[in-house]
Amino acid sequence: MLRNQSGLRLAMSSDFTETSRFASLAEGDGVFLESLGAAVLRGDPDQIRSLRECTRRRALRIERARCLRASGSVPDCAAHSASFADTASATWGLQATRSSSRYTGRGIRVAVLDTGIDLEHPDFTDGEIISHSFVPGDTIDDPNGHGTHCAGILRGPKDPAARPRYGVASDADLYIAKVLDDQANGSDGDILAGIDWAIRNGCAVVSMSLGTAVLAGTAHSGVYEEIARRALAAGSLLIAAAGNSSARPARVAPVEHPANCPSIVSVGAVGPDLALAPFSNANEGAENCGVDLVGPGIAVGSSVPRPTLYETQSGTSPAVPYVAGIAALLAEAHPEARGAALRDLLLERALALPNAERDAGAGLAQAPQ
Amino acid sequence: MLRVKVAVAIADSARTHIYEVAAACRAAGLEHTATLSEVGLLMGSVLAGDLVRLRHVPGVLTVELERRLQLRQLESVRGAGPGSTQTEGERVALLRQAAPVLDLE
Repeated sequence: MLRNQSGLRLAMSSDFTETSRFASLAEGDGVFLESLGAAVLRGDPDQIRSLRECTRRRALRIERARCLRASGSVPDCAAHSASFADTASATWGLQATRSSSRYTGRGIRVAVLDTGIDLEHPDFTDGEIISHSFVPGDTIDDPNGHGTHCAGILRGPKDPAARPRYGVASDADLYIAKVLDDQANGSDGDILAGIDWAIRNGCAVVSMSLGTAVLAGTAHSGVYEEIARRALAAGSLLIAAAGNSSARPARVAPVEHPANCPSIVSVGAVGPDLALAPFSNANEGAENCGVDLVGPGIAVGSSVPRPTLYETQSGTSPAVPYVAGIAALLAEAHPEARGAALRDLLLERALALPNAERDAGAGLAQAPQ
Repeated sequence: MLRVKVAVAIADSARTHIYEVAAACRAAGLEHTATLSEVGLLMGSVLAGDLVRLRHVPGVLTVELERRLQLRQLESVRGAGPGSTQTEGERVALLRQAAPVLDLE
């Protein structure tokens, strides 16, 4: 049995030429397959992080293990038998992501780049919201409603004016950048200015439920990738929507710009039964340009501007602030984790789903408990 | 000649003197409208014929045409607030009817 610097104990495959040695598998954390030069192991997130650090110069690649099934058979992964519904106390999305956590995002700055926000909504009047409109001639107000819905998912109150609870990081410090006009149109210039502003204000998480369709085979934006890479280095994690252009099973569209950038976390959508949403875009196969995670994206309840106050909406748009809110909770739970380290935490703690990795990435984002 | 809006990413090595690079870009034809110093970007517009010259300014990493985005609210399928009794089947049926349109900009 080997033990490495991460505390993980591995059996050696050469030891299993005698059946009497198989019992030792249950005693360790995994097995080193000597003829393949690879190890399969199980560890907690801290051990995996430590493993990445101490093998940085020696390990070719460290990947999350996948769940495979025979083609055409009914998957028996526990997640597929799950089904959630809104209750009197919490929306189905909060339940599925375990977001009613002891963490609330306190002390974590999060930015929402969208159509603005209704600052007079009763669920946003407690606590300061820092806002700025990058759309020439527009105030931060949100006649469109999309931005208020996303902001609500990310930082709706623990005790909203009307139940059920729908917000993930109820105590996070909210920064709102209006980068889309009231018709939900926007330009790279305004969006990039919003990103610049969020980083300048020390936002650990930037939620972007926006994008534009790309043709299959299109390379990702070099500008956005460079900006996202710099954001990570500065401790800001950019999260964006994979897009809603698909009509599964007939057609699966590629992940949209800018979510198709490797350094931006790309989010797809699932429904209350954790099945992939029919509109959710997917990885084309190009390395690091696909879906990283999924979030709740069908009939997602949240705030909308007065007088309506609450509404359910569907899309990869609501899935993004779920992931962003969970990132804020993880940032609170792990003060040392920012940028790429925070992204790694999100991926490591996701609930693996039976879907192909190209469709659901690491799985459904899960909040720390 | 067509004038196009562009985003100009500055190389890491040049970010400490972004304003000098901006001046060089203006000399190469950039009508400079904004400097995003936190992320090392210049925004502006340029005649299409000057794009190549702009890309070769020392300190410039890459130049891209500015995109326009339009949210197609598939989230167009709106229902009552949290706790709605609309069934999952009804919601999915509505979603399938919301024919997505590719934005081919």
